[in-house]
Amino acid sequence: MWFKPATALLKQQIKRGELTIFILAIALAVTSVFSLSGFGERLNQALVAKGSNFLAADRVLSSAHAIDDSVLAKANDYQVKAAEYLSFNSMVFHGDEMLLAFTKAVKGPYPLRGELKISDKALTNDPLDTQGVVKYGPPPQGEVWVSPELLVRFDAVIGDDVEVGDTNLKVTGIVTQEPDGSFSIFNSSPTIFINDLDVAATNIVQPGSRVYYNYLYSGDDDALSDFYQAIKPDLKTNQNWQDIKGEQSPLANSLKRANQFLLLSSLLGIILAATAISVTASRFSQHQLDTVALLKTLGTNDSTIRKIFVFQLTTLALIGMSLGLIAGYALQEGALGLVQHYLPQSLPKDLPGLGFKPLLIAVSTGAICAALFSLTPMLRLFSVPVMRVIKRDMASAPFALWKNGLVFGGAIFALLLTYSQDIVLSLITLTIAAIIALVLSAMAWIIIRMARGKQFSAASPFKLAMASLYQRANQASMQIASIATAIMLMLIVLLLRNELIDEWQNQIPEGTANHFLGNVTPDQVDQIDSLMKKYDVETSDLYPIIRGRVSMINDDKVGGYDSEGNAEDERKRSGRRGFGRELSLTWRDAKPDGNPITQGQWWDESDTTLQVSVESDAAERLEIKIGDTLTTLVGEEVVVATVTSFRDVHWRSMRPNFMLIFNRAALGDMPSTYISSFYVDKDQHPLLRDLLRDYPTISLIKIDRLIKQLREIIEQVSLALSYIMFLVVCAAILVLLVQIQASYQQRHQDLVILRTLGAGKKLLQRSIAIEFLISGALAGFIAALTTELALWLIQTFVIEMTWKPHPTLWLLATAVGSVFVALIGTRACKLLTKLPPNELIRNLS
Amino acid sequence: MSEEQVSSDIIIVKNLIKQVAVNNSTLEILKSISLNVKQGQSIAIVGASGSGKSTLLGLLAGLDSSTSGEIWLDDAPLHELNEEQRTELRAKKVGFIFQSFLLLPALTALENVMLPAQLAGFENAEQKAKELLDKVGLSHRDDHYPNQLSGGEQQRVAIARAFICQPKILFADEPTGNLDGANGKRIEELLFELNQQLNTTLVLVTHDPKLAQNCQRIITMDDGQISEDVKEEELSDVV
Repeated sequence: MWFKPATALLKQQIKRGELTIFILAIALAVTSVFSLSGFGERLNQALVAKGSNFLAADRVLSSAHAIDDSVLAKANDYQVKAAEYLSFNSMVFHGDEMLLAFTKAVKGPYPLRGELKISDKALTNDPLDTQGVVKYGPPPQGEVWVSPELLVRFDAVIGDDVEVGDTNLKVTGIVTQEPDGSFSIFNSSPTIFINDLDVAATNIVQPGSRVYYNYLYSGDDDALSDFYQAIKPDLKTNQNWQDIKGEQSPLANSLKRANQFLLLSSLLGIILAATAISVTASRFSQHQLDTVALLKTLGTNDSTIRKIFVFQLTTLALIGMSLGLIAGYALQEGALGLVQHYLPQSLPKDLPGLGFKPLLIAVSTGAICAALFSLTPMLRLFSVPVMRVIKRDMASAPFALWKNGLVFGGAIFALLLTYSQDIVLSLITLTIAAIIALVLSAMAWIIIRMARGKQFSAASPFKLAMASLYQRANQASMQIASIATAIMLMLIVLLLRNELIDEWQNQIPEGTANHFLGNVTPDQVDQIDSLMKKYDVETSDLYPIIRGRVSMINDDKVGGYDSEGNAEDERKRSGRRGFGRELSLTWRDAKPDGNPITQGQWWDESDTTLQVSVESDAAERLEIKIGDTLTTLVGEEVVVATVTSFRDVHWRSMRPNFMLIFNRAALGDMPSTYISSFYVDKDQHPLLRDLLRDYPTISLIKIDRLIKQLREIIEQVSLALSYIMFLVVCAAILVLLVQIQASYQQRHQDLVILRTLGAGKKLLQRSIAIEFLISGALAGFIAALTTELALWLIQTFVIEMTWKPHPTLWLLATAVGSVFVALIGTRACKLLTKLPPNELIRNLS
Repeated sequence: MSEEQVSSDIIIVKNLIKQVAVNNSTLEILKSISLNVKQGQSIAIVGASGSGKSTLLGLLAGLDSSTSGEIWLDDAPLHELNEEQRTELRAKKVGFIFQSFLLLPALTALENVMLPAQLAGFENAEQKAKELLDKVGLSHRDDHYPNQLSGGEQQRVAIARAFICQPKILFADEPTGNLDGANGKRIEELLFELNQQLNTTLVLVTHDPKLAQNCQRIITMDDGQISEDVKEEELSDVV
């Protein structure tokens, strides 16, 4: 009974084009959410996949004992790909020479992620990772692949035999790239790869040997966590399940931030979309008031009316959602296609497929938006008094502001929570939205009311512009608030993007050291120094390394398990417990670069009192104060030094960093080795060979691959952020257009009156331009205010970065706001000013 | 054009045709209308809905352009002017009153009245507007916005607005159409009173026979043509 009139009404309305905006708004919501989450999700997957290269797998299970085969066999049940290697240190012999090597006995298709490159020819001077071919799995039985350091130190060549334990193995390859190579400066034996089947013959692995079993897994994220859940009950506490996200590496941190940022941007996209939906829904219901009043007059009951409009709404939402999905998919694929050219080659060639999640999120966003943001306008529509057919100015009582706010806020919160599954993030985003909606609409409203410009002639463009704003004070303040939101979002994306990238890039500026040199004896220092000079390589200073253990802070023992004493002592002791372990200590005359003093003073070189400088975070954690004494055990020696300064240390900088630095008086006489970091470019590579050959005892650690990968990730994340900014700008333009569309009818009528009364085109164009300039500037100013607030909130509570004020932001926002809004606004209204006044005749008739 | 015509006829229409395209065919709304209107004359255009009276009013006022024919408005060849020139002409010589009042909702009553004078660059716009609002009995409500005024009051503001530039010709489209009897009567009186005082030519389109009877000439439209043209002397006979 209701279906026929409903479809008839719908057809007619679609024909008249009234619903285009509603459909477009839903499509916009779905498009932006779909493409943002789709692109974000896929890029994130790609980034994690790339990060997984560092593990040579997606997950690694490491254990000091072999894990039962029945447990491991479960991997098959979960479609998880597996490989494993046994790792241990063993002496390797070549003729009379011997060397301690880190041995990996491989079984299965190692590596599961990243690339293992092996060269079967002598190395050239080209960068290492450009030589050799990609291999999967272990070397054939009876063969060994060795790191270049080992060959150099043994002065061996491909084809030589080396002894590993009780067996002889033939060197058939040089490892030029190892995905999960060690980055630890203090553990730097050269690596060799052997076949798992050769382990027994070496006789190295005996009960009680220090060996590690590493089980590598790769596959679908869900499958991996299901697999983990399945084997978890069988795992012991010392069996460690790790993934790239859980790793405490600069890479993991960067990925985490990039992830949060992508998520946040998607959330902001949702709010923009919701604004557009809400505006068009209320416009739609406003347009339907007469129809509903008429239907009621004709005896249609409430339930039928509800059915008619719910049907209309559902159909429109479905059309909008379908369009949105198509557009979102195309946009996302297009953007990905564009971006792919710029992506570093090492990014997985096939980006992970578009998962089900973005689709689900986009569809539910469309559905929730259509249902919830149309709720209050629809309820208002259903309660329209029948008398409206006679008295056209009669409408149903508007909803109380708080009810509207509750529905709108609730709907946004539901969306945010569904999407982010993070209450804090959702609450912060919602709070920002609520502050903008309430305080800033009020602000805009007050400013508009105050600045009516009574002193201007009614025919001056400024007066007309202000009058137009004033006439729509309620809508205009909402419009300004939503444009402010859009500008704010753009600014946040822009500023956060820049600050994130700056912070990342500061960590690894150009020329960052890409090699570490360790285990240098005092008598080698001068020789190595001159070798470096020969190749024109700049080094960080050589730092002496002395192994030692802090035993007391003032009179408190650290590292003990003594539980006597009062509660305060016990609390301190438990916090300081880990401090009792052996540390790498150093001494220096001059303060190292990049270690700003936060408290106290750096010592004078000539000062003979024993002093120590403590890293500031450690000082805080260990409750050490300036003037405290640290008792340190170095071998048999006891050093009691006074804490005279705290330093900030950038642990992620590729330099030797120390928690404790003593003065010469304290440790200067202790036996030590030295470490240093340096940067070599392609032409300086022979230096490395000279170092390895001439100083067999030193350790050389390459970190250039880590740095290269970090740089690539930064580039990818920057690209992702640029794409998201582009989408947010598009969404902002659409929101603005939706708002202008909503005021189109009134503007049309006003312009026709003015035209009829003799107002020239120029006057009208100027008044429109001024109106948009004013509202844009106002929106920009408000956006600056809220951006500062939002940045403070986000940086302080969400992504833990240091907030600092942005004075240029205010100027920029106001300028950007006015130009952006004026350009789009005047463009959108251009047609209106060109309309001939004969439109009036149509209006009148 | 003869000297005589220049001095006495403020509107001259010759063979005016207006066609519009509807669904691939051409619809002739006005079929070769010719008409002269004297300075200071009041003229009512009546006729059934769809007879073309509003179209004729729009063309005479320069709101629309004709398909062919000539319109001379106070010696200006309207048919030869472009949109901007017509707009300028309207600002200087033409006043309007609409059935749905069409006040700018963002401006106060006073500002609405002042608007055409300011657009035409007149001085003392405010003083003149106040005088006119006083004449229509709304001086006490000059700072009210249209939505704070009743329908009758809004139309009185519209009348004040129409006369502020002392237009040579005033076009009114169903000026009492949206008003009840008493308010309609008041508007009618005001319209003719001001028309006489200011010697304006009044062209109005109406369905209301009483309003039409108050005019010196009644033109009846039928199917895009003038079917009857009754002038003052004949009207007195009819009445």
